[in-house]
Amino acid sequence: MSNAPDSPTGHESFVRALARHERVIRAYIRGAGISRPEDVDEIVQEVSLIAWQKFSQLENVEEFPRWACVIARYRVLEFRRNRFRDRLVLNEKVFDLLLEEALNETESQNARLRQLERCLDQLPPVSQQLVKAAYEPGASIDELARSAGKKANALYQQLWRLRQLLRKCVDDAMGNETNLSKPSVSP
Amino acid sequence: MNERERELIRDYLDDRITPDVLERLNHLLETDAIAREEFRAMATLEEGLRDLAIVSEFASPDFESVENKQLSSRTSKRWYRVEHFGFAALCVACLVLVVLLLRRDDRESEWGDSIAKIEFLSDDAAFSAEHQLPETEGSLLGKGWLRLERGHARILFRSGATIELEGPAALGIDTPMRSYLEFGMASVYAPETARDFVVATESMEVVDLGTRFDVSVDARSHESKVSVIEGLVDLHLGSRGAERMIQPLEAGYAARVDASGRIVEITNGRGIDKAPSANEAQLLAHWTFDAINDDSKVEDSSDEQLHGILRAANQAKIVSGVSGQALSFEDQSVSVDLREHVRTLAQLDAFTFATWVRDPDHRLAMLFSLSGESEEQRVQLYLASRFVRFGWQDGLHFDSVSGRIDGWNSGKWYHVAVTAKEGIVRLYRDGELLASGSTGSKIGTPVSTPSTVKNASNAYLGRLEDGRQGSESSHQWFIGQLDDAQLYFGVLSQEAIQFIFEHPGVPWKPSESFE
Repeated sequence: MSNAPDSPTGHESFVRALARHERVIRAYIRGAGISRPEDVDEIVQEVSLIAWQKFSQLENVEEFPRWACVIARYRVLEFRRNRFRDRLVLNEKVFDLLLEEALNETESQNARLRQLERCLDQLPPVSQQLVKAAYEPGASIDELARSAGKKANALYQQLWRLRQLLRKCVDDAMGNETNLSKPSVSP
Repeated sequence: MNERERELIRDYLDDRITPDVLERLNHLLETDAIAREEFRAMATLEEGLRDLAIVSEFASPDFESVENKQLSSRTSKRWYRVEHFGFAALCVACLVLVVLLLRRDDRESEWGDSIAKIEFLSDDAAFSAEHQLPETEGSLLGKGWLRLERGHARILFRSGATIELEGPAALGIDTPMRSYLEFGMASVYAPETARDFVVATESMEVVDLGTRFDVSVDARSHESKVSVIEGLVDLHLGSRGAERMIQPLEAGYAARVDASGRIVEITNGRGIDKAPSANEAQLLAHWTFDAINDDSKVEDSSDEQLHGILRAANQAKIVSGVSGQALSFEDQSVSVDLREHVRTLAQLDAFTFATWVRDPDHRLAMLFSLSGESEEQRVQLYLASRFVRFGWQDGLHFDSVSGRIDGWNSGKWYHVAVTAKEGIVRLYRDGELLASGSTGSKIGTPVSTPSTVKNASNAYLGRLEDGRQGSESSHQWFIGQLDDAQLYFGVLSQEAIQFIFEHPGVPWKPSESFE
């Protein structure tokens, strides 16, 4: 397969690889210590551009997620260096450690993300809607609480409990992956 | 991990953390690998939920496969992210269009068939005898050559692009969106109306992507220099008719391109004319190989006395060198061990290493290296059949900057050198700059120097101790001959490199003159 960026095959292959693995790259960037989603978006854009420019150098498209994460690593460090004065961010040593260790986890993170989708489907519909509403672009806890007639802090705690449930569901499934048992969620 | 620690991570990821709590989180993550694992798991959950929240809004049950569903959803997601702006952008675009249409007639009548006009001329401006276009301020210009002998001129193109020309210079006016700089210096400003404005030279086209940039062409060598002040340009490299390569160049970067369209150098921030000052460097070691004692000591003739130890399975062979004697690396066991000085060498955040080399093994010839306990931490200067390379690894991936050469003639001595400082590495052979770069050509990682090698424990001439994650010791080597290896703290200028090339065996000193 040709990965030359200008070839139709290369273009198609790149778009497909990016679409398929973008969430892994996002998770890698967030897991490296970039807390704000909009900052993650900005870095992903840069990574996509560089990955596109260098796509012809990627010998095996199956290695795309890890390769793109290596590119992301340096963009994350650069971002941190440029922004640490106007953001509350973790120190550089922690960034280094998180970035380094996460590179070995791209496969497992992908599996976690797939599992998360299944776990979310197992939540009661009302809880699913709440989670999805809270994570929609531009959503704010205050507004959600107002529309639900709840206190913001109460809603935040409710969401935190749902997140922990989802986390446990994913952990259980990952731990039991070998025997293919279906994890369950019961809030 | 207790609940409170999880909440620390949650607060950070939710952007609700306070400075004092951040310090506690830093300490926790620095010292606890399980906490870091937890951090990544929670971050993955956050991004996963964000992704699913968007995907679920657009996912269609009609899609046949999960992958297709995801692809389609993600495509939709991107549209979603732009659609918020779509309506507003459409309104603005309509307004702009109306205004432009209303103004168009006025503009057309002002410009007629002209392409550009002389907006400003300095008092001392003068045109050469070959200049055939109008010569006064405000004159409209058609297609043709503007030849400024001295002074300054500002040319406004119909597209809105402006070129400030400094004489002597020759500028070809081609179309409202294209010009050609034969020689001289031009400062270009291209507003949004002139996006994709082109300044062509003999060896490339500089395509504006919304920016300010300077471009100059040397009248004699036809070498071009581009320095981006604001925004971004694409350099379409290569002579007319030849296959072109595109090199993006962003604000703060400058590139030097030779007459054939090859990038000689890209620099960051400091500007292309600010080459390193030779006064910065001082000799740290000079291994002449003229004095190798029975106790295998390879003497350093500099004041620093960084003597090496000759390692060889058999009797080492001394041969006639380019200056005095040279050391022949006959097999893989031969190297000069500098581990005793690794702490000194590992402090080099700016350095120059130069040596003479003959008949290097064509597959891979390791000249100098400094490394940690595994291959994941290293810097190295090495040769291949067609390249001089400086490589580094800071983690899982190796990267390098390479200078292409025409090969290594048998029996001939070559001088090779590397300099590195402030993230820029330069490679030389026989005094000529081969390549420079601030990032590697493999995956674009920033250049490392000895000072960035963590837990440095190995340093050699003619060898790289490549510990393979520490589990099994192995190494890369050099087969060939070395003479007159010099190591400097700081970066030698090209003139200084040229000096040590022209004066084998003589180290460069700050007071040295270059007659």
